[in-house]
Amino acid sequence: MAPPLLRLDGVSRRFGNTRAADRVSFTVAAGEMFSILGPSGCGKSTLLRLIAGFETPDAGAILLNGEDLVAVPPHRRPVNMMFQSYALFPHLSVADNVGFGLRRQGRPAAEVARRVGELLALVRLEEFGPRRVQQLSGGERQRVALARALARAPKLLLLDEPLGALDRQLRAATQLELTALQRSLGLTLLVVTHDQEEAMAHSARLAIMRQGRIEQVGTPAEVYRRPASRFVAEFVGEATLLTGRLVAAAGGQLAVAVDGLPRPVQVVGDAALAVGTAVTVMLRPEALSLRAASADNAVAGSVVDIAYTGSHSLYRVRTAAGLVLKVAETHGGEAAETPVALGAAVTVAWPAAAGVVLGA
Amino acid sequence: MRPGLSRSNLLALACGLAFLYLPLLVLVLHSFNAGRMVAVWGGFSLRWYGEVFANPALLAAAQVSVTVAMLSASVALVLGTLAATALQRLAGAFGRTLFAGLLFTPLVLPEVIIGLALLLLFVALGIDRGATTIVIAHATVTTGYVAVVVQSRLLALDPAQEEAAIDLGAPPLGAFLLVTLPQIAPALAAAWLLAFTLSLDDLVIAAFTSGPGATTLPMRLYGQARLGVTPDVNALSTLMIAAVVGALVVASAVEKRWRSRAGLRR
Repeated sequence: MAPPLLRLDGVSRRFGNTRAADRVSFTVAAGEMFSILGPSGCGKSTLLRLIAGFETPDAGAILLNGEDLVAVPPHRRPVNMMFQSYALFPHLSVADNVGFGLRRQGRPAAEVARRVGELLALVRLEEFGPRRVQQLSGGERQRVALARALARAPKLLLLDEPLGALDRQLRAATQLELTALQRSLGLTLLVVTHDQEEAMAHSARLAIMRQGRIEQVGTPAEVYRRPASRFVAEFVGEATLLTGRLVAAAGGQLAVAVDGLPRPVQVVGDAALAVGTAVTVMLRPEALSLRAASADNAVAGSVVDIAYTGSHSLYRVRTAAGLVLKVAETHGGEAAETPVALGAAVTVAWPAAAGVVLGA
Repeated sequence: MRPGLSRSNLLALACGLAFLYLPLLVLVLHSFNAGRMVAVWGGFSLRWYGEVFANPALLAAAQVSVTVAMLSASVALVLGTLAATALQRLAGAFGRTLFAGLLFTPLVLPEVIIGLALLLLFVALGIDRGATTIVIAHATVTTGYVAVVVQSRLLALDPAQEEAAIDLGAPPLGAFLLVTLPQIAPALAAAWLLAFTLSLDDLVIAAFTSGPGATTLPMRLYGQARLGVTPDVNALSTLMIAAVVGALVVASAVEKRWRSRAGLRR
């Protein structure tokens, strides 16, 4: 495997008593689209600002192609950033905004003009060069900001909530464009977002961040299927979390006693865990069924909520003891013919392999 | 639909405006009075304006005033802009409130006290009083005004803009000059004009801090008026009113034109 383009090694930064970055380490490969996902205030924007050079780490190293970035002032770093607010210059035209970075490199005017033309074509704003920023729509501004950030052909492009200011319709289209651009130009993107759908759908890998710490780094599928913590399980997608105690372990087959469930939950997991350990079993809603005739686990309850999303419905089933299980059913086929009504008595069933044991 | 003004509203408005502007109106009218008697209208004439321009003492004082106003406004512009920039960047930092308080207190301190304090300082330092000390004194007072005007403009700017400029390869000073300065330029012009006007019409501080040979226009005016109000004093006062009003109109027009051009929201 090629050496990573970007490497963060134990990067820490604190503001007063807040740890905005706490021993953060991860790598980004050249040509990769890497996302940092986390709730607002988790320190993900600080991480971008550390890489861009607007903040200095208290500890740790930031390496780009193996070279230390920390000592390089922000205006000399070969990375560019697209700001959440876009931070376009309102006193300059679109073309002058895009050409700002090129002009700082002292390129001749003709070359700047040619390159600006190329960049505007890239983001499909050929005709917009002479316009003022105030005359642009939100989506157009986003594209100008992108063109401006791409102008100096950065080795690494940092994007702070790149789609945050756009409405939902525009967001999907813009995301696809961004991904296409990333592939065709071979860009390395480091995206910060709080939108898990956005991060999951388009990143090669992502890091889940919480209170300044990286909870997990992995591909979207790894993070979804094998979350490293309760936080990740709940932050990425829907999940039912059952807390209990390990009562039996044999040949990778575990039994977990859960308060409120009459029988221990059967789950496939790490046989090295000692009996008596407190564990959490995570169940993704699509792994659960309301109709399976026989399975390793079966729990009776009643449907207390149905959320219809078009392609599937998410049911909340409450057991007699008050536990709530989330079950997703895809529409079409069986579900369409005999829909489950609100309040119906059902049996939720799932195979042992569907459960994932999380550490505590 | 605009709410109509009732009769009592109109009366109140008329009384209020009369209270504010009747004295000035009387003065301006009398500056065009052909007669010498203040209380008697002797017909329209511009003769007193002619006398103003034929009076070397008045012209010399006007020259001192304008020079002092331009210099002090320029010094205040630089200092006030630096202070406003610092205030904006220190947002949330320790000591910011104290700094802001120190900066803005001269705005509300009695002029007599500022004048006296400056006089004592100049005497203690052994600085000869003259036009220079008036410039220093006026710059001291108007720096706070400049800071207020510039700061309000800076607050409307996206702080990420300068970072974006740095990110695109501009060194920090270059980012300020290329991105922030052009955007606050109208506020700088307005602030300079405000400082200029404040200096131009100040009597109290100038009286405390000036020395022989540095008589400003308001000082000359005051001295002359004490000996009896002559019509040429009215003419001179009218010219000063025109200058101040003109400066303020230009300042607000600059600001407004820029605002509409930039399509400023927020």
